Amino acid sequence: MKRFLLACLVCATITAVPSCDLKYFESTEFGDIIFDPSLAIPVGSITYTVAELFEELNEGGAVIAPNAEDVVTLTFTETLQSQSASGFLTVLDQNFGSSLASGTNLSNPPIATTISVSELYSFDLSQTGDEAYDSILFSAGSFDFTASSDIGADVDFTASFISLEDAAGQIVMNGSLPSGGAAFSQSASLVNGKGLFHLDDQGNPSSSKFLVRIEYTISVGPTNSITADQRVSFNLGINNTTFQTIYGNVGNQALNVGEQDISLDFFSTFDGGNITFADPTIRFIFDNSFGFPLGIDFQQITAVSGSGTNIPLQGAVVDNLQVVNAPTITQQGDFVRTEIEINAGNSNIADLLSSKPTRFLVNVGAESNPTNVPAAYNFIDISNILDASVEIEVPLELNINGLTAEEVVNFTSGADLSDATRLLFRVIAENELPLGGRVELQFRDGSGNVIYTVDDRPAFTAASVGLDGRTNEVAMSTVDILIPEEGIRIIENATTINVVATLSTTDAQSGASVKLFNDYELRFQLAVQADARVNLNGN
Amino acid sequence: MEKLLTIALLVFGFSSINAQGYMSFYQLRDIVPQTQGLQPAFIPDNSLTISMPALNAGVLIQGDVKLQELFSRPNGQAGLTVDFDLLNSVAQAQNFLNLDITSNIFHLGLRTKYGAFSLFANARATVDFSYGKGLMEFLANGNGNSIGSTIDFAGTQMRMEAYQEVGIGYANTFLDERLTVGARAKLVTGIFHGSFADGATASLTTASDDFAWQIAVQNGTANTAGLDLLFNSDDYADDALTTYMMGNENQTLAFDLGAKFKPLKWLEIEASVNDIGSINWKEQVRNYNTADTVATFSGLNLDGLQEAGDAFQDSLGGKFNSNETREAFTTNLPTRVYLTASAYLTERDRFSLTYFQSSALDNLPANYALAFNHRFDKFVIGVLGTFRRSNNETNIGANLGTNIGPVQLYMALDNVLVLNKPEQYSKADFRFGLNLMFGYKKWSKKPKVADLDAL
Repeated sequence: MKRFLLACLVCATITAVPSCDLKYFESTEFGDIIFDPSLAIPVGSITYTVAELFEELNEGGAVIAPNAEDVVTLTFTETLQSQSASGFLTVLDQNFGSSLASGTNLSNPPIATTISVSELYSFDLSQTGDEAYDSILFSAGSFDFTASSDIGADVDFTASFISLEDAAGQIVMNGSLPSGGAAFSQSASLVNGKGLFHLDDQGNPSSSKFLVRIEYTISVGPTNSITADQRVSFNLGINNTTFQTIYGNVGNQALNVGEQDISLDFFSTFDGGNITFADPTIRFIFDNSFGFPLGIDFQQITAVSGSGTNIPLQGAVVDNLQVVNAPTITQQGDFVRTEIEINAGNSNIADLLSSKPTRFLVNVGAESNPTNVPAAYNFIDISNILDASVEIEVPLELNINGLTAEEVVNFTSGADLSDATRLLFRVIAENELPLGGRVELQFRDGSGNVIYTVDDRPAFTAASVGLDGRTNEVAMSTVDILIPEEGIRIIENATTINVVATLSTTDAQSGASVKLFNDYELRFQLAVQADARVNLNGN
Repeated sequence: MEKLLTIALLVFGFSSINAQGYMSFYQLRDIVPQTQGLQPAFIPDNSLTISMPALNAGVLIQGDVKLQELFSRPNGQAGLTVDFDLLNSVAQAQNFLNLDITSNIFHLGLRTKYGAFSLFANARATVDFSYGKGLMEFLANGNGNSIGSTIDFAGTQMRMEAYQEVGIGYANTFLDERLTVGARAKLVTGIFHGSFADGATASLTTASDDFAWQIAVQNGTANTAGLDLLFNSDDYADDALTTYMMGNENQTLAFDLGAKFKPLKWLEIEASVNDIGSINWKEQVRNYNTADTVATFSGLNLDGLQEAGDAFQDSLGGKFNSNETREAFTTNLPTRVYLTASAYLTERDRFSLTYFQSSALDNLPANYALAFNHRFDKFVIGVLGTFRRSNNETNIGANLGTNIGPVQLYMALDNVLVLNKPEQYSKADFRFGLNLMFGYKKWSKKPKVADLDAL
């Protein structure tokens, strides 16, 4: 009996295990392990200086730096077309000619007789305008002289070109003109030659006078006969010259400074609302090495707004010819800088910039020796140049009232949101700027359609301004952005975010301007509470 | 391959339950020689015992959550999962999870006139993990529910280790067998160890405004031995792991002490303290230290940030001064205490009340068992109820020990109900084994009255 009982116990024990109810674990596998915490994470902070903040709105067109008052200033710089000396002035070819009669009747003298003739000629140089040259230093060109005679006897002549020197000195040509013989022709190089046109034939100071003395002797033999009206004819030419330096007066001539289209991409991000700058300037900078003053005519300076509206620059600075100074004779080779400032006092420049222009059209005219400046002795060297540039300088002393700015940024994190079920972004702003902003986020798909919008809400508050014009507090603000799961699922398909910011300066409604000093900072502290549903199996 | 073998050894080889509670197994007492591992004063009923190598196996898992809470099946889902929300909902202020796997590699027992000698070799692996409500709250909900407050990870303790022991034991009777005193001395060789230093704690405070983290770490040291060799075996010679497991410098001499006393004919009291000793881990030691720190992390400087993930990790890690050292450390063996009082209704029927306490972790709750055993000539059977603390269910266990011929089969479970719908329970253990037993007749008491049925 006991053995039977023992056998039963052993059998029951052995069969107990396979008879267990293990349905809970049968035919099943471990499924996905889901981890669904809510994590509050301090993401980090980013601090913008004023310059960095506006750099975000700038596409490289402007230099952003503080001015002397430490107010952040936008500066757009463009170089206008340069005027070279060779493009401004050329020396015309000069050709003169005349004849000198023998003045003597003599027929078959019994003995050979010599008759001498001499004459000083003065020619006026040909000019394109009212130039008057005292001298020209040539770098190239030639001097050509021809002479012929119809005198019935042999002639020996000497031509002294008083107004012309070559590298060896005054040019003098000698020759013989046999009776009935061929004409005389000779040329000389004017490389490093010099034209001296500052005296008249009486030796008095003058300009643009070319002097030449013609002398010849006639050898009349017993078989020769000459008459008084027989003569020696001559022509001379100064051809194909280029100048190194010219002294005198270049007269009143136009210079080509050119037309420039200046892009102001900074303003292209702005849309609605108003922005008014207190002290914008346009500064033209002329560096002149020409030896004569220039008159500047701001023929056309126009702001073109994003909508295509043109606003022309007006005011005293446009109405009056502006003067660019020149180096004196003792300053040859030097540049003299002249800055002409267009500001709110002499123009309507503030109106132009308040129109949020996307570009400026600048067309500047220039002329030499303007009539409104005292006459001055002129010189021009082939190396002289007129450089002109323009700086549009906009200190951020401004009033912004409801100005909207849009910036499209790429959004590539959509795929990273697949595990997120709720996102609460917390943005804490510490703002030293007298500039506040509201922000709306428009998530866009690849076709540019807005698929999800985080409504407009305050992002940072403008700090108040003290009597010294500086902010006297750090304005703190906190904004929460909650994106529920359905929103996250939509955002996963977004490719860009259009950030729409609406900006206003402190007390903007009153029209007060504020200064954005270089040391102001706007600090954003970003935190997120992310509810996520993470499959630890990676599925 | 070597690593796989090692893990297989850990999981399957060390599979004779000899630790933690094993309350049901304890009730087999003098019937099964391996109970000397729980109470050295037990003296087997036969002259010679030889264990069957690798046939004494068992596992004990005990936690403060039911299996269906640990591995839950959400509605409508076929597969099982780990649901941290569910675990958090059932978590208490302090929670424990214990795993014990032990193998009696060899046991030779020899009974003498007044006592018994034993020569034994065991291998053992344990994992003891304790966590507070804060840790599970963090795993379930992150810190999102704790904005403006502190999550305290205090109470998180972890200890895992594996070691082998070889020793001898002797038990002797006194006072006409009313008193038995036993002791075992053993050479313990530590193989693997991992634990947090005493007093290791951390907390996470999340600021209410900017969610900044204030992380406080104290005594942030994790001591390990052998784990680098186990997990980075490619950095070592091919036979390094095997050589290390066979013998190393992480050795100590440890003791088990026990006694039982029968003051009355019907009353017996027992007490034992096992695993008295400590291991000085000297070989293959790695200490991962983090200096005491209270660090505030407010996020990154986002200006020009490129690789946010790496930067986040670097920035957070940079708040802490961490290093790795190789300094020896000492750990006490997880001492186990059994106290039992038994009342004999007859010589064959016994009620026992057993108390068990382990010192593997601080504040580990004690186990209690109320058992009844009946002893037949060739076997003993018993049932018992075990209880740990209020959040645990009361388990019904059973045990059986036989001596069919020279072969002894024994089996014991603290929670026999786990065989049916185990998902409803938080405790499971199973112990079984085979021994070769000789010489019963010499020690069996002759009945004073002839059994006519036997005749």
